[in-house]
This record gives sequence, structure tokens and C-alpha cells, in this order.
Amino acid sequence: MRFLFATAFLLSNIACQATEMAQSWQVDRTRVLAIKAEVVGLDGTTSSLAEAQPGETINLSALLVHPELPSTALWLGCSDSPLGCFPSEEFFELLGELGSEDMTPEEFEEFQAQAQEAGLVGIEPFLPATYTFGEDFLDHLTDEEKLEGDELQITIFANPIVDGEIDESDTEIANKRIPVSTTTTPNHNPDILHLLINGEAVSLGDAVSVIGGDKYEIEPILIEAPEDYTFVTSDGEPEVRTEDPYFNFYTTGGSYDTSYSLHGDFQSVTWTAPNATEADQVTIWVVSRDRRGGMGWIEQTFLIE
Amino acid sequence: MHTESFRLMILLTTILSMTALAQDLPASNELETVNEEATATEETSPEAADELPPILVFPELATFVEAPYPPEALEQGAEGSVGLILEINEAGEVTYVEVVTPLGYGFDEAAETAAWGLTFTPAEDENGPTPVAIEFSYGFVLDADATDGAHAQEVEEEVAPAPINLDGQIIEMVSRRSLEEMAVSLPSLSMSVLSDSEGRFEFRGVPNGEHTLQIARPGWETKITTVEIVDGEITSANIWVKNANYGNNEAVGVYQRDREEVTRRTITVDEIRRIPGTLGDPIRVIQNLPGAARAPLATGLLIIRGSNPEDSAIYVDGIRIPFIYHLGGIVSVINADIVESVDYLPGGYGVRYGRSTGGVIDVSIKDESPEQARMVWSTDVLDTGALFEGRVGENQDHHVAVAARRSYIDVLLPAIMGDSDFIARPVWTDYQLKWAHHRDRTSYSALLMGFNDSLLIGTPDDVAQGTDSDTQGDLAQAFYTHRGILQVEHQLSERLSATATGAFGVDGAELNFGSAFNLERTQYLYELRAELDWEESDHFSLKAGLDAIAGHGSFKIGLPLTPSQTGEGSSPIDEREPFSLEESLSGYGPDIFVQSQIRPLEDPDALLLSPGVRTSFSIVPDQYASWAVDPRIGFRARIAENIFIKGGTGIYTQPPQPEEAWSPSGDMELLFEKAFSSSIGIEAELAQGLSVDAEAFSKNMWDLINFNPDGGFSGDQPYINSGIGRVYGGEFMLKKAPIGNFFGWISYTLSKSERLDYPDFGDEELSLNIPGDNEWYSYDFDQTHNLVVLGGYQWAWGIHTSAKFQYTTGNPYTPYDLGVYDIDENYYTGYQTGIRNSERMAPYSALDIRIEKRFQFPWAQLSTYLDVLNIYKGENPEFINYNYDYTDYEYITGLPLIPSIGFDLEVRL
Repeated sequence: MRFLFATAFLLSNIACQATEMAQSWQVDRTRVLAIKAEVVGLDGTTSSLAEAQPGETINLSALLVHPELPSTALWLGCSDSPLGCFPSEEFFELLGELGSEDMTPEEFEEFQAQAQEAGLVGIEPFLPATYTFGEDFLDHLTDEEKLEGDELQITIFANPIVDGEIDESDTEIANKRIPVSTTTTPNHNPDILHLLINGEAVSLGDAVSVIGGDKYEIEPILIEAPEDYTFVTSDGEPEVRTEDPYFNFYTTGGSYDTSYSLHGDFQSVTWTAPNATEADQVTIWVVSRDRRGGMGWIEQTFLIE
Repeated sequence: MHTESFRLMILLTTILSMTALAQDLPASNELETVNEEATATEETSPEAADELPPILVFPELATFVEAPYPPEALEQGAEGSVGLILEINEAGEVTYVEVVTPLGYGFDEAAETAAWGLTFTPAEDENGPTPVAIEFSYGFVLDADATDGAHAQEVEEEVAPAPINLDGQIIEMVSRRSLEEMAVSLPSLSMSVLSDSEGRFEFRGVPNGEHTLQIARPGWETKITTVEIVDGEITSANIWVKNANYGNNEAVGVYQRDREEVTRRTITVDEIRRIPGTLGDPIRVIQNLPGAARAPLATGLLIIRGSNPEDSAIYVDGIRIPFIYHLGGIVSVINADIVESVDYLPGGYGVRYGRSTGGVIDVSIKDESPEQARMVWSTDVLDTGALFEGRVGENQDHHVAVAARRSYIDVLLPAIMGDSDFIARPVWTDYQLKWAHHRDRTSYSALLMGFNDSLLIGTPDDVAQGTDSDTQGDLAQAFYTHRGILQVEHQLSERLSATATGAFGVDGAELNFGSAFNLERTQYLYELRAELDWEESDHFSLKAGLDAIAGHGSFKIGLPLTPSQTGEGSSPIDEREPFSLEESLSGYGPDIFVQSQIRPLEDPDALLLSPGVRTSFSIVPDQYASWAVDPRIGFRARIAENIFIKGGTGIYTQPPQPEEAWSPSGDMELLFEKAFSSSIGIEAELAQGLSVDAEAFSKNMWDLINFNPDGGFSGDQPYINSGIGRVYGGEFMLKKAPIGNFFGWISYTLSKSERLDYPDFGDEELSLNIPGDNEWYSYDFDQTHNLVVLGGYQWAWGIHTSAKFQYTTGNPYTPYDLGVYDIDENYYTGYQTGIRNSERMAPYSALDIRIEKRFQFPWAQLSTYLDVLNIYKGENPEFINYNYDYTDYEYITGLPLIPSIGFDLEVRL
């Protein structure tokens, strides 16, 4: 127990000592800031549903960023592997087939099925990441348990591309779980409508001019209000809960006073623009999470004056 | 015809408290009425107006004037001493005489008249000769020639000297040196002698019965004790006297105890007070001694000879307490001014101490007060505390000491941290109340003590407090301990004594983190320690004891857990649910021990063997029951004058920690942790006050308790006795005691401490992510080299300076440089890239200095000091702090430079 005091003092010491290490909001290398699953409807279009049902297909997209370089990512999928997914021998054989010859749509569909079986979900940007759940995906659960469901583990390996070659010295590994259930209140991604910068809404895609060194209040606005959903307790009792989203902020330049904000009372953060001598353009990203696996994000460019 | 002659006994023996009086004189207004010269001296010395420099040279009698023996006294055969106050000027001349202890029979007038003719060598302070006042006893004893008739027989007996039946030696506290020319007297018999060059004294023909023995000399506090003369026997008395130049409380660290332990390191309180960085705390000094690893900043961990902090035991007046330092590890939980002694036993100790495989710290609280009551107020940048101690009761034979302390760093921190959104509010308090009474053959004492620590870390409500709603809010912790201890010691016979100690205590801990995490733990402890000491002869003694403890405790845990953590199922994103657990349990452990001391050689000090055995039990009904036997033996042998070899070996065991002693299903199989510990060493006194001590040690441990990898915390047996460990090394200490103006020591420890947690498990069973991680690894606080060099010097003007240099190998750490991002939870999990503790931080080195100035007043003493730690701003790593994704790390270093000021004000009441 005494170690708790030591830990507390350690925390206070960390808080009091300025660090020169990279902060979590700094994008100074290849980063996977978010992964979003979107259920593919019967008409082939994606929806905002983040939670699939057995037999459905999901498209996966990643917020893959680097301050200067393009990046590539390898998507793996697996079940019952809390530490993440690891490539199998079949996986590497399939990689050899990819791109060896042009495929027909049917061949490509067959390849995707084989790839999924081997754990290969996608290769950014050549093979779109997608996954089709088998009808029997939840058969190991009781009907009651199926309401809560199970999960698909996704692991992504991302690298920058330098002069057309993958830079293996800069690898980001990230894991995400995709919920699959029979719930009647499936989760939707908390997509962001736009940002308020100093209280003014910015149209999506518009670059905003800022003055180097000045502080700006940035507040993300969700498209939809937090959802109500049914949570089944460990006692099997249904319980209605309301989502409690939060936001993470990232940037290629300048600094934040804090790297996150909370939906509601503490929804904005303060960003200090870098001086014009340091950068003439900065990109920031805001990622939203609903704590149920749903994610959304938005990108904003600033021109430094 | 009667011949009158006088044999004067120059009874410097009864010059009392000269130092105190000397300090009184120049600052007192009364002096102006009796000694204008002294007043003039005072006015020409600016320092004297504010404070009194200490007397460096005491006056000695230069010219004696014989007083005529008063006829009335002669007629009645009266003898005795007249107590005088003399004031002596810078020339050594007597300028004032006052009879303070009249004797009658005309002695007073005769003594006063003669005293005006005495001359002395002048007293001196740092400014040179100075006026002083002294107490002087003028003795009158009838010479044999002056007796007649009835006295004739006595004269004849003196011609044929009576046999020596009282002897002894005078030894100075702190320095332990023998004191010569100390006046030893038996006032009731008007007998007096001076100690010889070895501090020895002898009396012949002392009548049977009890007599008061008095030892005095200017510069030393007068010692009065009782001796009993038995017909046909020689009574020997070794007398410890305190140098008056030490403060009232500064020589108390010296004590004489049987050396049954192989290694018992003693540092006097006087030394401790002057070591930089200890803030005058006698317990903090342990970290500067061999065998004690340097504790990381703000942890206060006790790491002794490579043991876990919880493996070392801390005792106060024989009863164990859980912590010795307040939070942050800066201040010990006991007021420094109430501490009598601190025993530091890094290993090889006897069976009197049990239930620990590491070291032992045994703190004794004073049970005697100075003749003059006093109050001490101590303040530094962290806390403030006060102490009162004195004698109460009709006969002034009850010792009472009361002390209390509170930190105020919680008030200062907000000012230091400015506009930071971060709040850290540490608070500590402690108190001690000690009563002691000695009557006839029995001593009684009671101690009530306790401490309460709390720490709040948080952010203001108007700041977003993290993204996790369960952890949003503050971190609040509190620890408290209270003990009530009663002790009775009784001398059953000349060679048999008994001690019984009973204690009641309560320990508690609370932790609240955010809105959902909380933990409460309370335990009530009942302890009984009974010891019987039988000293059969100088060659054999036996100690038998019972050390029993019983307790009842409860804990309450509330925290949010995911369904998979509660074992109730799996939810895709694992939303948490409130989980609570409340349990209580009781336990007891009646230990018994027997220890003997055998001195087989004719000279009892030439060889000491101390074998002993202890049986320990630990029973927690419905959970587990276990026991252990600890056989141990130590020896100490003199191989040459002032050179001893010493050694010991034995088994040391300790029961599981409270948090390891419970499982949901109960009925666990848990054993005591065990260690086979051995050491051998040599110690020698190279010169007076200069000693050297070297020791090699080893310790092999087994049945160490670790988390059970098969089942986890929710399993039937969360912990198992799976681990082994080994520690080996050497310790060296060269020490110069504070005799003269310099003290200091060099302490060096070379050690290696390793653990292997699961020797009987395969890699797959442990789910290792690093092959080979289940191998021997360096203990978390393994420090190969630990060097401490410190010294202090007493200058003129009451100034003392000291410095300490420490070099320590950096602590090991486990390397990570791969972080895998959990996108759902928004954090990176670090993965080891090397086996556990395979890397080391940069070494620690620091130079600390301390400057102290002491002011003397007639009624008080004020010490002010400045401590500056890490004066050359060494960037000393304490911990490793990885960045958010484990791609980089930096050291969390000690503060670059820590100045600390404080003062101690002691007022004599």
C-alpha cells in the first residue's frame, strides 16, 4: 500500500517536471489516430452503424496520418486474441498472389474471402479493408449473450512510404475491436459535423487563416446527439444508458492546452498556433469516441500568417 | 596538646553546572550589580549582547587559600563542605562570593573569607578571557592528627588502609573515552578521589549500605547515582557522564546494550543532527549507513541488504509499526527530540526479532527527563513540532514527554505551483506521549503514539479531469496508525528480571480515486511481548520470550470492473459495472523464542556466542495456517586489543503480508517466506574515536510469495510460494566519532540482489512476451555500489558545517520501446524489449551541505541551520518515464537543488 504514496508522488513529480518528449497530440510520424467500422447495407452503401450483425459486411477505414509522407497500412483480423492479430503463413502466401495479375471482380471477391480466412483484411491503399461476418459468428453464445455479442479483433500495421518504399523503421501498430451482436440498439459512429473555431463554425474542407502564436478555442460538434442504448448487466438485466462521448485532438504544429475534451461542459480545447517561421500550414485532426467502439473524425487545415 | 591541621580536599568534584552558570552570567542584568567588569566586557562585545559564545576553556584553581578550621567545628568533630558561588573575572580573580549551601559550625564564614583569596586560571571563550560564575565547594575534613581520644582508633585504621571495596570507571557519553581527573565523591562520607588517566577510581573502607556517589568536573554534567556496598565484596560502578557542551538532548544516542547482534550500528544523535539532508531526524540517518540502499526520491522505502521494503521490521519500544516515514519519505513518524536511540540491524540479529527476513530498526523513546524541564520547538520548511519533557510528581520521579507535529507543506505548495491546474496536498501529523516511572526494582512506562498521513492529488472542478468518467475527480489517500504501549520491567532478583509489554493498535488506509474507485482497510492489533532475562553469571545468560500478536481486520473495495474482469462474461467493448467487496478476517501468531549468551572464556569479553531459536506461527482461520522455526547463532570474539571478529548465520522467516492472506474461497496453502542469512566481519578501534567495521554477507531466499499465474486474483489461491532470491555483498565503514571538532564516516556497500519468481514454471504457463524473461533478474532496487562520505566540523562562534557526498549505482529498469495502440481505450500498451530489469539508470551522485549556527541564551538554546541538497545540481534519475507510445523515455530526476532552512529552539523551564 505504501507504494501508492510513492506512485502519487511520482505522478506529482511527473506533473511538475516539464517533458521534452513527444506529446500524444503531436503528429510527427506515422500515426493511426482512429479506425472506423461502417456496416454495408443491402444496397452496397455504407451506413453510420458501427456495430454489425452476423452475416453483415463492414468497411473499415483508418485515420492514417503523417506530417509529410503518404502511408501504407496492413489490416489483419482475428478472434479471441487480446494481444492483437499476427500474420500466418497462409497470409504471406496470399500477399504473393496480390498484384501478380489482374483479377476479375469474382476472382477478387474470392481472393477477399481467402484473405479473410487467412487473417488479411486489407492493404492500404491497394486492397480496401472489409470484413464479412459469417452467419455463425455468434453461435457460441446464448441468445441472451448475443444481445451483447462478441467482437472481431482488428490489428493494423502502418508505415510511411519513402521514395516508393515502405519505411519499416517507423511502424505504428494499433488494435481495434469491432462489436458484433444481435442488439436492437446497434451503435452508430459519432461523426463530427464541423468545428467551432473561436465560436464560429468552419465549413468542412475550408482552410482557416490564423496568426502565429495566437490561441484559438476549438470545439467539435457532433452530427447526432449521444445515443441511448440498452446495456445488459452481468446479472442479465437490461439497463438504459446514454453515451458519453469525448474527443481527442492532434496536430502537426502548435500546441494544445490539453489533448482531449468532453462532450458537454468541457467540449473545447485551446490550440496555440505555431509561429509563421516554424510552419506556414498546419493540419489538425479531432477524433470522437462514444466509448462503445464508435468513432468519427474531422480534419482541419490552418494557414499560418 | 592537640595539633590542628587541615587536610583540604579540593573538591572540584562539587563544582556544579559551571557551564550553565557561565553562560548565564554575562547576559544577566544581575551581573551589573555584582560585577561591573563583566558588564563592561559584555558591552564591548557585540555578539555578547545578542548571544553568548560557548566557554572554550574552563577556569582551574591556581592558588588555594587554607581557611582556619573553625573552633566550634573542631570541638564537635564536624566535617563537611560549604557550597559557594564565585564570580571570577578575566584575570582569574574572585570578584564575588556567596554562600549557597551553608554548613554552620563557623564553616561558612571561614570558607567565604578564604574564597576571596582564591585565584583561578581565567575562563576563555572565542574572544579570549571572560568573566564567569561557578559553583565551588569548599571542604573541611579533620586531619588524623587533629583527632583525639575517640578518634584515635580511626587514625590507626587509616594507617592500616582498609581494603578497596568500591571502584569504577568514568566514561564520557558520545565519545566513550575514559575521563581522568574527574572528582568522584561520597558526600555523605566526605570521601573524594580523582579518577586516574584511565578514568578509574577506588575507595577504601566504604561502610556497608547504600551511598550516594557523585561525579563532577567543570565541563561535564554532574552525575549522581547510588551504590550499594556489601560486606566482603567490591562494588564496581562504571559511570557515564555527559559533556556539558552537548545540548541536553544530544548525547542520548549512546547506550550500552548487550551485543548479541552481529551488526548493530549506532550513531549518536549529536552526529545525526549535523548530517545534511536528515533534517535532524535520527531515523533518516539510516540511509547513510552500510547495507541500506538509497531510497528513490519521495518514497521513504527501507531497502536493507537487498530486501523488499516490507521485509524489514520497524519497532518502537518493542512494538512493531507499519511505517517509519511520513509520506514522501522525508520525515520519520516520531519526533526527533523524543528519541532516545535508534538501533539499525541490517542482518544477523537475534531471535528476539522475528517475522522479518530483512533488516530491523528498533527505536527507543526516552524514559528519563533532564533535571530541568524543557520545551523544544522545531520548524523547517516542511513541518513544525513541539516537545515538552520534564519530571513531575511530588518527588519529581515521573518522567513525562509530550510531542506533536504537523506539516504545512500543503499550505506552501499552492504558492509554489502557482496557476497550475494540478493540486497536490500532502498533510502529515504525529504525536507521542510518554510516561515513565522507576520505583525500587520496577520500572513502568506507557507510550501513546500515532501518525496520520493524507495526500490529495487532483485538479479543480472547472477543469476537465480526464476522459474516463470513472477516474474523473481527485486521488485522495490516507494512512493512519495509533499505538498504546504499556511496559513493566521488574528486577525479580539480582540475576533475574522480567519485562512485559502490552500494546493495542489500529492501522488504517483509505484510497479514493475518481468517482468509482475506493478502498478502505482497517486492522486492530493486540500484541504481548514478555521476556525473562536470567544472568546466571558473567559467562552465561538466557533470555526467553513470548512475542504474540493477534488482529482483526476488514477491507472494503469498490471499483468498476468489466464483465470479463468479474468473470461474468464478455462484452465487446467491456463497459464497466460497479463492483464491491467487503470482507473481514482475523489472525494470530504466538511466537516464542529462547536466546542465550555464552561467554566461555575467562575474560567474558573475549568470546561471545549467542545461539537462539524462535518458533513462529501465523494462523488466519478459514484462510491458511503456517509455522516456521528460526534457529540462529551469532558470535563475537576479540582477537587482539580493540579488534573483534564477528559473524552469524541462521534462518529468518516472515508470514505472508495481509493482502496476500485472503482469497474468495479460503483454505489456501501459503508458507512463510524464508531466508538463510549469514555474515562475517571484523571491527576494530584504530584510535580513540576512530573505528573501522567490515562485513561480508549473503542471503538465500525461498518460498517467496508471488502472484499466482494460474488462476489470477479471482482464483482460489491468488498468491503462491513460487519465488527464490539471493543477495550477497560486503559492507565497510570507517568512522570518526565526534571527539574534538571533527566527526564523519565513510560508508560503502557492494551488493547484488536477484530474484527468480517462477523457477518451476514454463514460459507458456506464464504467457511471456519476452523469451527468457523467467530467469534471474536484478531486484528492483539492486544497487551495486553505494558510497557515502560525510563529515562535519565545529568552528568557533558556535558554527558547525558538514557535508555529505553520495554515489550510488542507478536502479535497474525494464526496457520498453514498443507501444501498441488500443484505439478503443485510447492508450498505448508497452511491450518489453528486454528481460525484466535488464537495464540500469544512470548513477546517482549528490553533494549536500549544511551550515548550523547555535546561539546560547541564559534560558534557552537556538539552533538555526541551512541545508542545501544536491548542491552541484546532479541530474539524478529516480524513475523512468516513457512517453505516450513508448518510443522515447526520460528520467524523472530528483529536484535539482533543494534548500531547506529550519531552527530548533530549546527553552529550559
